[in-house]
Amino acid sequence: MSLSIRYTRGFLLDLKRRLSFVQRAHDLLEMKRDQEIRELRSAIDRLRDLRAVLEKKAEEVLRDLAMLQAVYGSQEIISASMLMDERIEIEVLPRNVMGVNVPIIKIVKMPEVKGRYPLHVEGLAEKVRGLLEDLLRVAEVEAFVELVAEDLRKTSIRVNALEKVIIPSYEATIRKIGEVVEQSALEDFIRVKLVKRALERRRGSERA
Amino acid sequence: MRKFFEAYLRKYEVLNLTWILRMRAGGASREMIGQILLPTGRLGGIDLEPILEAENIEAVKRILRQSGAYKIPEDVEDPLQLEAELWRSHYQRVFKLASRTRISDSREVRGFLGIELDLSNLRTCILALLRNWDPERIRGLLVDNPAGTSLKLLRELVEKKDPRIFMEHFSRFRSFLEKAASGDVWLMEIEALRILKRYVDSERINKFISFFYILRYILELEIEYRNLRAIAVAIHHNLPQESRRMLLITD
Repeated sequence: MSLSIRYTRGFLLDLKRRLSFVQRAHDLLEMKRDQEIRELRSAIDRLRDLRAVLEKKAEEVLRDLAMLQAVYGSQEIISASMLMDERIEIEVLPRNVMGVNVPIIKIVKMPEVKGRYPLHVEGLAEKVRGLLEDLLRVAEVEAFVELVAEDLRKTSIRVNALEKVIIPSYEATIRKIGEVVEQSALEDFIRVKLVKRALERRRGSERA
Repeated sequence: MRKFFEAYLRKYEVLNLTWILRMRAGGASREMIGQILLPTGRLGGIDLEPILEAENIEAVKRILRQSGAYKIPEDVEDPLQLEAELWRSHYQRVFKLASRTRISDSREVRGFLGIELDLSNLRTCILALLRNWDPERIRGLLVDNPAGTSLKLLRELVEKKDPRIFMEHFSRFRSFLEKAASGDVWLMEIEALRILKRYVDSERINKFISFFYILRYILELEIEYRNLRAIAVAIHHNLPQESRRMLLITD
């Protein structure tokens, strides 16, 4: 901490005010860090569950795709996939979680597959549609985890910096200034005493 | 006989046309479409080049109508309905030539074609009903079968909207229909070919070279090709052994 230190009582009071502010900030940041840890833990649990479901569904879709390709040939699958002319429409909206902007994915329009594909491909198309919805959910939670984890890292650095560097440094400076100010007050007091004694001695000699 | 087989083998041309139509609908390039087509050049069908060059689906439909080989109604917009119309024209042509050809084994040939088309119609009915399609739309996708179940009966059964009725009514194809209910639709295709194979194996062939013998030979080749393709795809996707076995069309 680089401070131009002035060894005065006024500066000491100012430093004490600043220290109390820094301590309050530290407490708040600590609360934020704890809350972020809680949010992150629950999001990671949610992500783990979602990923497990997603992986299971993806495996099923890939198996179905491989089976269809083996039975009907890749031409049938490639050409059937071209029948879909609609696109997924999504909106990515921001949500503020403890000062962190995390995205929320809102599905505006999911293409309808019923009646659009040859009957033997429609089942797979429906499964892929469900898989895409799950993928979007996973992407949303993953982005949340990533952003909150990054903010948690920054918050932890700040908390540690306040706890280990800034607050001790303020306290040391305050202690040092306090000692100097006290020393100076004592010196002043002694000086006053000496002056007073000298004056009294001079007055006594004048009277004599 | 040659004309009949040329017409029968034009099912590969119909497959090419359905793929072209789908790819065109999706805006695929000519090169992309060309990569997936089967080489049907020598089957004596229509020239695919102008179709590949066509600007849009409407132009493709116009070329098909002008060729005279396929009857495409003016009002067909639905791509699946369009595919059904192609198959309808194909089977009409095949049945017409089968009835004109005077041969001793025409009963077996008609029986084979009848089963092939019955299976195709039943697949459409049961899958569409399981997926809650509108009966009106299902009716439009069915193809008339002069050697099998009548279109009238199929339409009546579709109207009842109950897939179980098909299982009761077509007990000879029960194994095939049950595959639809299981959810593994690809098994229907395999079961369809197994049923056809069982049929051709069950019919006695009196002469070494006969009409039916050639039809059987074509089916055997198709099954062999499909088995090899299934093995290759299964190896490529690293499918487990039990899935690989399910894909094979064997006795």
